[in-house]
Amino acid sequence: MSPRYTLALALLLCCGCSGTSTENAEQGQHAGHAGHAEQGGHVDHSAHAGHSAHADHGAHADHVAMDMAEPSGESIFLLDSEWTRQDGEAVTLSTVRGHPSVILMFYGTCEAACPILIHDLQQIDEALGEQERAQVRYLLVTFDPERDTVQSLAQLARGKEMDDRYTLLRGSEEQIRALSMALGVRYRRTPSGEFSHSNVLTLLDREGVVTHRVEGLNTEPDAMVARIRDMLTSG
Amino acid sequence: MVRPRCEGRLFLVLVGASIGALAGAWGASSARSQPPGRPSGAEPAEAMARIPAGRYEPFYPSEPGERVTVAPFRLDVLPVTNARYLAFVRGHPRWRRGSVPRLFADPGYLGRWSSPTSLGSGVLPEAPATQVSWFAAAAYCRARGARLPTEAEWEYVARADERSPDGMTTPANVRRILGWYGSPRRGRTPVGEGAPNIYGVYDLHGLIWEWVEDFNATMVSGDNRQDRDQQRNRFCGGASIGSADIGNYAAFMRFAFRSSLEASYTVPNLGFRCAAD
Repeated sequence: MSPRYTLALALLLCCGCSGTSTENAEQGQHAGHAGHAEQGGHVDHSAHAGHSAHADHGAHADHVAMDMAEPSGESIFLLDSEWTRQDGEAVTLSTVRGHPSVILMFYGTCEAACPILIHDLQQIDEALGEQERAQVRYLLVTFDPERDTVQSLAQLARGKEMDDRYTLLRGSEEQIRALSMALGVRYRRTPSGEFSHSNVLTLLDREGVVTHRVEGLNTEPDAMVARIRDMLTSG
Repeated sequence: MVRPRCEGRLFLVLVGASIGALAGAWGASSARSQPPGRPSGAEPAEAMARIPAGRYEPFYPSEPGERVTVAPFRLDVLPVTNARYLAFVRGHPRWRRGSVPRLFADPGYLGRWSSPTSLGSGVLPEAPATQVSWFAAAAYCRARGARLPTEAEWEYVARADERSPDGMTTPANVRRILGWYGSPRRGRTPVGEGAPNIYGVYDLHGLIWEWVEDFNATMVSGDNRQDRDQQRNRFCGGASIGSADIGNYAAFMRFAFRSSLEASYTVPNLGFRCAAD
């Protein structure tokens, strides 16, 4: 690096993030480190204190007339706007509430990374036992609502033999940007209409709180599988 | 720089507001069309400048020869102030310190305010609102029927100096900007004290960092120490490491800063302004 850039970076470090954000600055750096798949211990479970025990969740199997307590302060379900599912139904992200779920962002015409990322997702599913599999849900959200229509999402799901545990969602650009922000997924539309994006699989607990994330392609499913098992056995 | 004590500061704010009101009145009565004058604190609507359409080479092109096209839009001439942000949280309890969900703002949110619904004597009403997260800034703009500017829009307007739409790479400007970054004012001084750029927009340089709608759109990796193979697989289609305009140090630092951010972060010298179509 040239001396000029070194100076620029030094100045940046002096006058950039400060004050109460040092903890978050570390977290931000952790998010970038390869192999540091886990979000460093930042989950705040104190918000669960008033939440009834998970024994209730057996009654939630069909999500009918569920008494919706306020989501935890870190739940992704706080992004509560409606998306369109691959069958045309309007749903919110909390459609998977009550289940450990893995969420990824992709787009349908992506030829390089997305097929691998989806394969990595399915590897996780295949590594689970039958009863474990029944309890897990998958959310796939497109960056590209223009080209990924309800029909093309349904077609993609069929082509990948995704059963109804898989929900593919399209929404507005504002929704997509907000979700990417909450998940720490970077993306941009390139001039050719493709998307540059980071490759991330994120594990949500039953309350939609991020508990684990994996970045990269051809990632091993073991860590995710272990975390899912922890979640299922802890009730 | 001598910092005035509390009473002195209040006096200066009152004087400044009076001057601002007089300047605004003068501007309105002038026969020539001018960029909006600095608004007084009493005006209900935020002054916005009309930015014409333009094209420029982005700092991090994703393809060679890429040009960013910016459609005409409007941009706040000033960053959002503490006074205006206070009015927002008073009307939107969900966004008060202590009530905002942790997903949307970290514990530093509005940390310098004396309470969730008051600034206190240590916080200037006319200074830029800082320690606000991206989610909070976006919510503020949405509540106003506006939005955050995109990075392309913000950077486009930031290329301008007082005389030209593309003045930022002159040696004099580069020196001035590096000087600012070398001695940060931490954003505790009132907005609008410098000279506006050619569009009539103030404070894009030298006061605070500012949120943009899509700050997570740049594929720059912030840490050179990472394993190379892993890094290659983290971004699909990311060919954005090489910047086009290496003379524009200010832009380089802004992109580096943005790449370190997460949407829930609150930072003492990071604020925002709104845009509209």
